[in-house]
Amino acid sequence: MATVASGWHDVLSVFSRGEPARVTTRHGICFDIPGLTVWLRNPADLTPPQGYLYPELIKDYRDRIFGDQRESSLLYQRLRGWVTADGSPIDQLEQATEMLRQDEHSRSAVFSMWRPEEDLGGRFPVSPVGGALRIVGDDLVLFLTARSVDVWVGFVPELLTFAQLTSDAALTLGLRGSKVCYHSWSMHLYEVDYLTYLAGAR
Amino acid sequence: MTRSLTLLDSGLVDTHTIDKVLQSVVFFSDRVVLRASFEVPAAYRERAAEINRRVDELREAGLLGLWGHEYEVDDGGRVRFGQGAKRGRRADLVIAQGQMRESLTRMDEVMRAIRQEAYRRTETDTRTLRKGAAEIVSLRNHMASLIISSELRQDGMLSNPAVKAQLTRSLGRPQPQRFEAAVVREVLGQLQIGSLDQLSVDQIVESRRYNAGFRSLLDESLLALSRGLDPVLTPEATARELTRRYRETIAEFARPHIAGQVAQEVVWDVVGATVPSTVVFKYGLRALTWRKAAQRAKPFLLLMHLERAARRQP
Repeated sequence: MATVASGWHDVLSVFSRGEPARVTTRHGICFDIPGLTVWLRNPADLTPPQGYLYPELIKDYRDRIFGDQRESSLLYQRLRGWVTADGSPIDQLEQATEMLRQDEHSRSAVFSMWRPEEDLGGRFPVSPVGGALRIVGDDLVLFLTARSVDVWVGFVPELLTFAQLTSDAALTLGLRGSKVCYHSWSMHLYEVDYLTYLAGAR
Repeated sequence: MTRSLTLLDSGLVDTHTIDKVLQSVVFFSDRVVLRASFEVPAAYRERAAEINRRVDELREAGLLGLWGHEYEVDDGGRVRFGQGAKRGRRADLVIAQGQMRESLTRMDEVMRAIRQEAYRRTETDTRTLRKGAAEIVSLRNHMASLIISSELRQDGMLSNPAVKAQLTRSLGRPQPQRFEAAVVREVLGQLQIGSLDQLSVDQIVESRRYNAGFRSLLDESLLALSRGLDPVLTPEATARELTRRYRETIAEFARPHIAGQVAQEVVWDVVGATVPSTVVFKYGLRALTWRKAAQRAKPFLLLMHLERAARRQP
């Protein structure tokens, strides 16, 4: 996808063109594409997609990483204030960026957001479980792995937020461009949204 | 007035769900409607046959109905997916494709306004960190269940224990548990009656003959709540009061000067449905009519009946 604005519709169309698995979960019935990878070529374009119904959720998500909701955000804590065994926090993003500044070919600028002691069996485990930053050519590439994402509601805020994070980090490193490679183990639409989308797509 | 309820939908039905359905149809509703394409969770797979049989029995007795989306069923209403298809389950009610669009738009408007509620676990808990979109997605799914309940023209919704853990954690207070359901669960617990799953369909149908009085009591409690007459009337407090009144009534009936005709009539009414009609006629229909003194015990007949049924179990 070139931008989130154009790519969201491409991802949705996979649900109408393909054969998503129908999965019964405790949250409800959803239509699931297991293991979908999306390449975002222009993360700097933060225009929301036409027809995306929840712009306020984009703001909420961004505020959790960049704005006034950081203190109450689990994602922010995991990414920027990971608490170690001795209680001291690690800013994983800053350390990964610094690692690339020292060695642009490093493949170890990895961060983790999954804490098994809290997330395994937890009620709302984090969606992005981890990732890595790499410099490839003139671009900073963020590889982000998500456990699960609701394409109708949560995908756009999540991708836009990490797109901004990547393009900001690229500027910090003095790079000309950036890309995001987003992989989710479960890209899904809940039943009512799937039916709404199919009805509108016809 | 007929009262039919839908189950908060997750598509999953386990033994606790069945118990919840039984509590509902025995105590305060005429029918519960479940999703026709429901699945039994893997953890309950060994009891799947029992759960399916129970659903079939209750449906045959008219105590339970099944609904489906149009895409889930064929022209004859038969489920096209999963375990439901294998068992040849058929939906009694079908929601037409596109029927819900307007309601879903309204639902999203409401969701926008109340989205902070999705993050609230308890009134005082301010330290819990927010994950992000998952809480919102969860709230929307619960609201969609309300929309479906409304589209099916049902009178209300029951929580589904198969999603209960998730529900109580995600929404904290207020929980989307029916007031009546919470009261019944408490009363059954306080009287140690236990699971209603031990009752046969015949016993369930029979128990329902006695539920009018109890239903009135619940309705009165709800009315007081909605009119603000008793804003602190919780399901637990209501259940405590009902149990207290029940025990008081039982104790009073055990006293010698009361134990005569009044108690006899009450007992008759309780056993009336279980003894052969010839016996009832022999000893007189008068025993089944209510006099003023016995009227007080009427709301509690259902509980007496259930206690007797529980004691009869091995």
